[in-house]
Amino acid sequence: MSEDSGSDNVEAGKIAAEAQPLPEQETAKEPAAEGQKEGEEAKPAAKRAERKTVRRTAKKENIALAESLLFGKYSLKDVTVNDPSLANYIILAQKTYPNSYGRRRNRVYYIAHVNIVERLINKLMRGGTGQKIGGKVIRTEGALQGKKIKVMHVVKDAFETVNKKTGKNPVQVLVNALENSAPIEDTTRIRYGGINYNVAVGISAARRLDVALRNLALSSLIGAFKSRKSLADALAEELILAANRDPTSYAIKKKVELERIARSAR
Amino acid sequence: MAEEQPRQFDGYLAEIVEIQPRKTGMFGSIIQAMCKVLEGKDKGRVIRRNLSGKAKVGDMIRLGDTSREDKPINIK
Repeated sequence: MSEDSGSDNVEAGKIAAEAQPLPEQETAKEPAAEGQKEGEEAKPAAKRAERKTVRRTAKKENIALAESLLFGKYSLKDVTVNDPSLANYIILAQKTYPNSYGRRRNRVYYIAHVNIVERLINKLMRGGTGQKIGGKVIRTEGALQGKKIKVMHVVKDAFETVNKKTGKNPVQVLVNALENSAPIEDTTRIRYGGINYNVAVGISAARRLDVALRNLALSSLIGAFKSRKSLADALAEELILAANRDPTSYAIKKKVELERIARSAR
Repeated sequence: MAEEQPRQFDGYLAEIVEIQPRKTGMFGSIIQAMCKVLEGKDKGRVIRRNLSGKAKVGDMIRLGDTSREDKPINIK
């Protein structure tokens, strides 16, 4: 499995990088000693320099690899997106800490350049659910609002529990959850002569992803509200449920409800 | 990690060919797009659809049914 091998590969790579040059040294010295003395003295020095540079670059590459893995553990290269409509908007760029510092914020399609894990983090940074759920409005009272590093640690913990429970790459679980909880149809309101009607409309690819991310984030806030569950545990539970198409998942419930209303209003 | 899940019905794939410049809807939040159907019975047909959210030419969407064609939503 790729998720476990991420850290193992790095260690194995380091050992291999150190082990490889040693046999070369022994073999390289012998012909130099046996060969002609004149004009050959420059060669071993050059070879030694080459070996040094090779060793240094190998070390640097390994360090760079370990740094670029998500949270130092998970690689995003093996993650596949099955849904072609979401594939254009799910960005899987390698980053240790997914934070773009809001650099592209004011551009038109800025969401098409932001890492998918960062988008989940951004959706979790909110003051509450913003609507009544179970007769109450849930407020986080500024505990999460604007605190990106704090939420990043929440997502990191959630990914660890997902990895422990399922043995899969948690980013792959997140992508599967998004694919399963993205709705197809939506409704809008129109008004004819003082009476409101609902009309079914389609949803663009960008908005499908937005809705799915929002519902995943909301469900973890609801799950952790007034319970012993931590926010990370609630998020991990929801991710696993949604990835398995479990109808008890909040995000999938919402999706089914939206589509049912839209189907009746065609 | 290329595990293929058994997928349920998730609509027919369609590609956006053209976006009409005029916006519709009560608050101007709906756009109209010409979509080319890539799957199912009506494969290859180009139909006009109302969409919510941002979209651009070349995006892929999923349609619940491909038999009907949407009218522009007129506001009076």
